[in-house]
Parts: sequence; C-alpha cells; structure tokens
Amino acid sequence: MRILIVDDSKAMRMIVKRTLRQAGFTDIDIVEGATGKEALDMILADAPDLVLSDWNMPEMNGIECLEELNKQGVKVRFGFVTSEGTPEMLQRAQAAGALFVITKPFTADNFKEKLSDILVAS
Amino acid sequence: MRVSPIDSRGWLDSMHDAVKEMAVTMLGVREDSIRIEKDNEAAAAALFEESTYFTTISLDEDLQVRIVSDIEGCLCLSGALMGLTPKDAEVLSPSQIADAMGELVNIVAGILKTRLADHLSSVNLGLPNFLKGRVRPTADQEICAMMVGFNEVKFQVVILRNKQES
Repeated sequence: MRILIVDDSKAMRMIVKRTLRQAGFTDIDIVEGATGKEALDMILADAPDLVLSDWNMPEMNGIECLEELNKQGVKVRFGFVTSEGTPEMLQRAQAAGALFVITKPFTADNFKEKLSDILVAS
Repeated sequence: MRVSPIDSRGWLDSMHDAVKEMAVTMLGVREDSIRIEKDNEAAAAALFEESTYFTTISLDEDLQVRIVSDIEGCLCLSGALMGLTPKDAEVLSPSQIADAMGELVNIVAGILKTRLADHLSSVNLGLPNFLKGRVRPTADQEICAMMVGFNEVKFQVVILRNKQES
C-alpha cells in the first residue's frame, strides 16, 4: 500500500508518518509532496493507493488539487489532515469526494478510526 | 464581516482551551503540568521586553495569532512537536524550527477558527511565518495575550486584531 503524504511542513509530514505507525499501519510505503501542485504531478504520474493531504499550502492547496483531479477524471482515494475544521470546509471536502477529514491536533486513535476501513480494504 | 464580536475575555477563554488541546495532543504534555496566566495586561507588557522570536498566522481578515518566545523556548517547542528531547532538539536548524513553530501556530489558529466559526469570516487560514523581533501592536490594533508554561518551556500566545469600531 503506497500512501502519498502532502504538507508544506516537513515536520508535519514526519508527524503524520509517525502517527500512521503508532496507529498500527506499518505495512505501507510512503511518498511525500510539499504542495498541491507537486501532489498533482505525482498522482498523475503514478497514482498512490491513498493521499493524505493538508489543506492550506502554497502553489495550489489541497482542495484545489482534489478538484483538479476530479476535473481530469482521475480517481484516487483522497483525504485531508488539516487544521481547517469549519462546516464550510467540511462541506467543500465532502462535495469534492474526500473520504475523510482528520483535523489537527490529532492522535493515533483518530487515524485508526478514520483509516482502518480504508487501509484494511486494500 | 463578523457575525458577532468577541470581547477580550472570550478570546482569552478560547485561547486557553486551544493552547491546552494543542499542548496535550501534539506535544505530549500532561494537562495538569500546563500553567496558563490569562492576566492580559501583564502578559502584554511582558511581550515588549522579552519577546525575541514569533510565529504568526492570519486567522481572519484583520486578525493574527502569534506564538512568541525566546530561542530556547522555540527549540523546546519545536523539539516537543517532533518527539525530541530538549538535548536532541539543540541540533535543529533554523528552517526546522521555523517549520515546527509554524505548524504549532497553525494548529492553535485552526482550533480557534473552528470554535469561533460564528464570530469570524469564513476565509482560509493564512500560511505561517516565523520572524525575529518584538510584537508591537500599531495604534489601530489591540492585543489579547497569555503566558503559557510547561516543564522548562515558557511562551506567549497572542491575538492581534484591529480595534473594534464603537
């Protein structure tokens, strides 16, 4: 299972990786991107099994990346790990087809709850 | 345009909860070890004397959230976020510190934005910046500030906003 972690913060990408391991998801290969544009290019080149993306990033944010994938007809399992948690943001994520939104601050249990079905199903 | 205004006490109460949630969840701090002083004026006065570094993010059109500390405080906070001991955190580079501090203010601002959604415009959070210097409000701005401490770490959390029209 290949997971793409997208966040402009290298520290946060490290924390997401660590939390995935703490949640028991150890049989995974992780690739990383720092912007929505980078993630888009990586997904179009070689789609991962799952994308965990931040929302606010320079040079294309996470929701713009997902909406662009939709526009291009590219299907990939996509969810957000973000500090944005307002109802409007959640609605926009859902409308774009995001499978989940994990809000920061998060725990390993949050990851287990949101990802268990997705990662087991693969 | 805000739906309804929040007074200083409302801000301080929300900041108190946001900082606690961030520290316990992301920094692994025991809740009972967190010391928070919500005395607004004393904390605001201390800002101008002690602050040397701060990370800032825009929460709303005219509102910023900042975390302010000296370099030792920034190192400890950054190290705690990354799961490092204070000694291991000493090797963090300036860009790593800026990155980690930016994430911390991003998390605090996100909690505030979610909790106070009815009182804020629905713009996205800005991208954080990490700067050296003192926090000085302009004549048009007002401050809500609190002092936070746990273990050896001491820092300030600040809301800087345009003065409300009467």
